[in-house]
Amino acid sequence: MGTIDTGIWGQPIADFSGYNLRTGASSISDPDFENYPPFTLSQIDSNKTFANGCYSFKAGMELAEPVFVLDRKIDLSPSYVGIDAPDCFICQIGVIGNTADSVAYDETNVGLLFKSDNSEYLPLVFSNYRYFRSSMTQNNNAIIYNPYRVSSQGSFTNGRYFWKPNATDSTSAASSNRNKYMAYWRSLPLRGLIGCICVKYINSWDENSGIPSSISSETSLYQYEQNTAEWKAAHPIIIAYLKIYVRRSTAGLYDTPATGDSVIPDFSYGLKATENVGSVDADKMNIICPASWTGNSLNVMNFIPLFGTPSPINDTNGYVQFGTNADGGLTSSNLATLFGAVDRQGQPQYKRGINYDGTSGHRIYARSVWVELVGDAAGCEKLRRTAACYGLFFTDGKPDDTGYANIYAEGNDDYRWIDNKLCLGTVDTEGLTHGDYTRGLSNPTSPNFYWDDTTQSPYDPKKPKIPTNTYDTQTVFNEIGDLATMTKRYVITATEVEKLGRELWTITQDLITVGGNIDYTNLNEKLLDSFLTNNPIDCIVSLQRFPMEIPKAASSERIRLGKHETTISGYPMEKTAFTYLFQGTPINPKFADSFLDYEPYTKLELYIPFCGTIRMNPADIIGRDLNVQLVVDFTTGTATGFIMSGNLVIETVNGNIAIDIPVTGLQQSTVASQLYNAIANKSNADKQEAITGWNRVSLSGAAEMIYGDMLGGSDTFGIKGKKTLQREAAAIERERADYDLTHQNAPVHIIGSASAVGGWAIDLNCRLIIYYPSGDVIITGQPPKWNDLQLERFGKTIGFACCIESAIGDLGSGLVVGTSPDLSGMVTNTQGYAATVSELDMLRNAISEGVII
Amino acid sequence: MTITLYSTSADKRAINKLSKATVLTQTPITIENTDRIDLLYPVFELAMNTTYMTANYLYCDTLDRYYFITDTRVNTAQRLELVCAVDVRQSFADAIRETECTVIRAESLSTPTRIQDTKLPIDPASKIVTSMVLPETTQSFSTNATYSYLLTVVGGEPNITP
Repeated sequence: MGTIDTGIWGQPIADFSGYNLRTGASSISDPDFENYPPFTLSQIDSNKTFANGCYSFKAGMELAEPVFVLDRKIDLSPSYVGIDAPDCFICQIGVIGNTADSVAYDETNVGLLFKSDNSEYLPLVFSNYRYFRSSMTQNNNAIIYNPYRVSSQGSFTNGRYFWKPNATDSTSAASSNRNKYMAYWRSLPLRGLIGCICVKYINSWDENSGIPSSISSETSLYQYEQNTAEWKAAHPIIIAYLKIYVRRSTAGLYDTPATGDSVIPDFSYGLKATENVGSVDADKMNIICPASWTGNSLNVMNFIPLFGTPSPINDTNGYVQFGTNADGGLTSSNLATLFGAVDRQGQPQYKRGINYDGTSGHRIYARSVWVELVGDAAGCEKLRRTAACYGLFFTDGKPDDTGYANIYAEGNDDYRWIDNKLCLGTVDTEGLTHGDYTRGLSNPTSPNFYWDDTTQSPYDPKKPKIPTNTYDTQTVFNEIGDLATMTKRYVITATEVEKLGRELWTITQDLITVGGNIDYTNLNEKLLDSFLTNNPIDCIVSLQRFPMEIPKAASSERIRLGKHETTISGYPMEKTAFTYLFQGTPINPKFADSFLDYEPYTKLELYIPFCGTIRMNPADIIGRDLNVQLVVDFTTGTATGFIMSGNLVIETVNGNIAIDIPVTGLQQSTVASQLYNAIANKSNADKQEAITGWNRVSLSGAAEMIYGDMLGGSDTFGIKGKKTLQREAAAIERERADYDLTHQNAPVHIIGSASAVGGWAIDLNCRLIIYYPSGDVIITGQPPKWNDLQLERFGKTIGFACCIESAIGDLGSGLVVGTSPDLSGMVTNTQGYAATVSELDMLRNAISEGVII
Repeated sequence: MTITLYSTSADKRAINKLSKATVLTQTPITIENTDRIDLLYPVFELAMNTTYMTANYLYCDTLDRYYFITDTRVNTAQRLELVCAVDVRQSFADAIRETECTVIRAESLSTPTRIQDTKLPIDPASKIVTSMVLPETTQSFSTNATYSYLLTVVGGEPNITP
């Protein structure tokens, strides 16, 4: 069977062998599902009894015949689809694969069911979207939200939408002919919703004159064919073709077949028919248009019905009605929102069938309706991302009164306001899409926003695909599981600590008092029996104090030492660890995101309580949220800080949070030695830092010489003399030494304490310490200051450092200093005299010295 | 061959010096050179005129180029000689605007960029130190918490703590 490389989600689908369109199954859960034959084109006619069946898809889809593949280039980039059509055409896009593994249309239960990955049916949530490209029409740049209009050119004008940068003004032709305007979603027929992208000819309809001759004539079709042939890169992506356009067997007529007509599938546009599908009969059901529903239902229209007989206004042929979902997923009011049918004035028309003009006998085939995503937010977002894979515009939400998504701009590319409902699929540098999208005023940041044709797409089908990595920007934190111990932990107060201390002095009293007298007979054995040791105090493993309310059980109990029950109550400890969360804080640059915001000019240190400070690289967190999680381990008395940029851990730091309270003499000496070692380590580290820094500074002499020779002299405003540069070079070198050291070794510069007690005495807030340049300007003889006037003066005389590939005149007025100018073409003056070789050299020098535009 | 004389105060790097120039000769002056004229460094000979001596810039229509007047001489015939050097910036202004290059400095950016700029006269030794607190979203630390002591003992039924 046919396979198509579609590039969905940026990855080609190698084959569709896993996709099967089964017919005849009663439901998706039919145990014989796999045994039903795959759907083929030839079954269209013979399976009109699907009315009572269920058309079920498993993940994937098998093409019935290669004939379903349009005879035109198929490429990997969805962004090719539809762009650069020289004339109006309509590309309907269906949700490919949807977000579910399978989709079932359960006609019996009157609902559309999506079988999700976890085998549960999701409520009906889907979107539709379409892409338009339009030529100029007699209405110039006006937006026409009129699905029934026929242009004088006879082009397909069902919903003609095109670029309108200003809500009130007409704009130039160059601006209008872009895929910049999206109508709100048009409803898609049920089957079109599933796995079908095709370019198809929509029959325009003029309600006053029936099908106009200009449409029904060959002229329009010829135009259509010519247009498709001339498309530079209009490559519709076909997954499966689920609709067939039929016409009367009488050549030249493209209206709806009537009952009894013989019809043939019409594949003038590159599709091939394999056989005559036979006669139309009166059955309402066909594979495209499910059986009619009655009752409290709405209509989703917008395609040509295959079969059926025109009938009065409540005819349910040719469209899908969605009633109340048996699972309660959608109410009729929701459906009204979801599939709001509108009349010609854009007024919602609920519960209406196809508008039938009893006089002309024709249907209004194309109703523009919009779809508002309802249902769970996650499902809606999945569908948006599916739409975004096509790299095209789509809209999200209800239309406003005007019925379209406005874009307001001053001039062609000066966007002042873009309707937040207008979304654009993001295309990567290779022209592939991955489901990301922009919205509203963010749209102009995407390069494809400005595309006029596909030649601007970086996509190259011949370019070998570089295997892509899978990236993840989220660190997963595991649940800390149960911890079984051989000891018992009690949460107590200072009062209980004192009581325990006093009780320890009398804890053996019962053992040595026999009959009111002191008797030390068998004392050892008695101690071992009660305390498992001959020293009761050895039952105490540790006593720690934490700077927090320790999570404890609801009820207290008597503290036991060994088998001995004391008179003191304590609460069993409830948790092994506790996580403190410090609120994610967006880190914004101070100097308008210039080099001054980054090292070595700006330094950052993050102080985490009990863990000390850790050097942070501004480049790692500027523009992102800085999150800190501090996990307190009650077992060891330590704390581990996880520093995150967004949701990704980038650093960890440890510290002691609990104060170890010595209980015995042995414990006291252990604690003291720990403190001593910690302090000694820090001292050594500080010495190392000083030595390393000194070496770096002394080696910067070469830098001094270079700067000094270039300029010499004393400082002149804007031009630094030798001494200033020496100082700066040394300062920069010293800072670089700091930077290098902290990143080669463990952070040695800390704010905090090696001891927990010291740590308690200091700030308990998590704090980002920022060292940034004051911006003081060095002007000899004047106090340091930094102001806009000096910055402006600096710009005029020297200009701001940058690295931009541009035409010199495109950067606006002012000084421009460039390098490597492209003077390869003919350089002439106003009268056309060519520059001499010498003048070209002069021009190069002039550009490198600077030109003032 | 005629020239038009200007007096301009524009920066020599400007490609449009005429915006800050005063035309000294409403009608172009016909050159009376008897010798050849160099394209890049011409010397134009004309009648003596004190107004002409105030010029520092000129345009030659025949050569279609603009020139800095680098020197003014009076020759033995009491005629004025204007020693010039071609101004390629003004002469090829349109070509310069359209020339693509790697721009390394630009005034129009208005503020420093991420490109490190050693020419920006800031004082790196002058630093401001400040801090930003990340607020807690869970319970706060407290050095005065009541149930803050954890006693670990051997005895009783061990905890199995989650």
